[in-house]
Amino acid sequence: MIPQFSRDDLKGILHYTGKLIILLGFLMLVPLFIGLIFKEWNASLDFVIVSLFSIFLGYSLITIFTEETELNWRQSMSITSLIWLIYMFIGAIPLFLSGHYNSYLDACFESMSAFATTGLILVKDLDHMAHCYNFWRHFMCFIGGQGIIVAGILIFFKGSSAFKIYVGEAREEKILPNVVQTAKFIWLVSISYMLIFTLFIGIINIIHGFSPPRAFFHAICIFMAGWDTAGFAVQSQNISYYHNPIIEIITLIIVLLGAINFGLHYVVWTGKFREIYRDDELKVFLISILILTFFAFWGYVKVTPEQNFLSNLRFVFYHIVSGHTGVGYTNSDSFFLKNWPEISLLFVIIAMGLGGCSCSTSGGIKMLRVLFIIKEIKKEIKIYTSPGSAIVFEKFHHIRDIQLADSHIKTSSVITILYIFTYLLGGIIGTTYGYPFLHSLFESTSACANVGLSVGITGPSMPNLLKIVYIMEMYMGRLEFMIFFVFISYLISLRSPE
Amino acid sequence: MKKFFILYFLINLFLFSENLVNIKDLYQKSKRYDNKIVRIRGEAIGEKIRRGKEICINIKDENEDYVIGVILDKKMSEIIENLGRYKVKGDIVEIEGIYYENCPFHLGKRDIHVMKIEVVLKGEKYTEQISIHKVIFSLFLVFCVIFVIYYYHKVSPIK
Repeated sequence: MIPQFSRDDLKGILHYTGKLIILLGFLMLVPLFIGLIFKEWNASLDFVIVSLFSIFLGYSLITIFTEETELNWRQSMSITSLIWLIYMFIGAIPLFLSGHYNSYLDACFESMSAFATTGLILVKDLDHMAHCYNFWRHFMCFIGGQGIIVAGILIFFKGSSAFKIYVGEAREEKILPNVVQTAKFIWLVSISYMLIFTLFIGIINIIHGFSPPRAFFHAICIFMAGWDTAGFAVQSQNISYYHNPIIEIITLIIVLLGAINFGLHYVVWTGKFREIYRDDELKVFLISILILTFFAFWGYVKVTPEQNFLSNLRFVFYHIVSGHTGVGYTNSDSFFLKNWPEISLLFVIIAMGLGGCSCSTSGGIKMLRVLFIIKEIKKEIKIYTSPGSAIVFEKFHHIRDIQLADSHIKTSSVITILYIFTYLLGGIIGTTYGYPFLHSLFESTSACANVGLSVGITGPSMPNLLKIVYIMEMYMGRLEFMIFFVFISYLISLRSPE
Repeated sequence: MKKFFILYFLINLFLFSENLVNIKDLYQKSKRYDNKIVRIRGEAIGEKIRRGKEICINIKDENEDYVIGVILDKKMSEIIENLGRYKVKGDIVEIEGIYYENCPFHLGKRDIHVMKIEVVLKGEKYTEQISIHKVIFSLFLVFCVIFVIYYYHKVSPIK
């Protein structure tokens, strides 16, 4: 039987939701500041309005619902599910006001795509967008990638409430014993890399003819969308705008760092460099990239034998890494991917579906789960080939040596099946609109695994229902399904008194 | 051999440079135009990106979101004064050059190597009109926020 919501549960949920809405209101001061720097007065006013509206709404909620108690599991899961939707709706308002979207639905799509760090876009005429709106698109990626809740934990949540709400946001691992310290560490690592890479890319841009304000604006946006594996870009051509292989290499480094487990970042930061070579999840991740690049490349050169080896490798490797890490950056265009041979597209789909490391900013099934499944297969083979009396077990190294348990397999299998089912379901829905199945599967996987690569289906003119399907895929994929299902079951329990 | 190349060049010039090619067509019918001389028209956007002795400028279709990079030398690029971005309509240019689907000189990128460039319409900078409605609504919200914060901190019984 599903435990029912009590009135107090709802009060607690709405109280903390109010606090997180206030946080969003204050976060909107950052793009407002950017707007003032670039003297974009009207656009800045939009952020003033939405920021004030968020603060007003949030304060109203915490004034009406004053309960500030320890959260239980159903409350924390409901807050997580609810706040991602509310952030999408509020985050979309400035985008819609920018006039670069056909409808509020399109703005919501882009907002969810940013918060869920997907990178699929419906924006029109991006090249003429005001800096503050453009910054907001990237800043939403940063907030969502770090975790809305991870940001909230630093300010609003304490004790067991903090832990419950942290787990709710698809992060099972605590890097440090205390969740607040874990959240602080995640932000420390991100801000440190942000300073380094923004400076680095900014200088490169200046060398290549950008004015200093634009150079650093591009740099910080590239970092935020890359580190949080979102894949948005300042210009409509994405990374190919820069016509610069150095920028491509730097973005590859940023996205690979972003796709690595924060726990591994922590041990490396504390001086245990050997962990880089010992971590089994990272090994599986890197081997997978190499294998998929090989097969995608093999398929690609079979169709385009006349082209240069190095340039082929440049595009294939970039797209495999982009797909596998979940960033969705492209050093080409959607027409380019559309014309890829089917076999190569299939390997990009596999890369996207698998995703990056657990407890990172990437989406998809994630490498730790793939590792569990590989280890379990190995264990089963050992059982069949060993004498009946033998005790067979499998170990893996992930920050420390861990023995593979049934619980690892159980949860991994459930989540993996849910991902694959959703990829296919989205693919089938796309096919009903007349798109080829492979292209439709590509787009669905890209949405659900929060990647952002596109073969051209996603665009302002795509059917509205498909936009809603992809929004749901991005949302559920980011929260890894279970939290959403639990929330829905609680909502159903509200309607049934028994 | 040299004569053959000159002939090939002239045929290309005759066949393809008469009419303007839509940038969208370059993408959609890429094989048809690959390695051939094309003429395109569009808005210069973003920045003049330095690449050694070359400059790369991105040209956007006037009506749709299709953009292509064109490579030209520095002197040629000086003709462009306005580059499109927020509050700036970039110069509309007509470009004649060789289109490469996979450029052999730039690691396989899709681009056009410019032979001739002409500004057909000067771009312009726009000035912003601040919306008075937005200002009034902002002031109204400021009042609402002050009220609700005051109520929460001073009047509300439980905090």
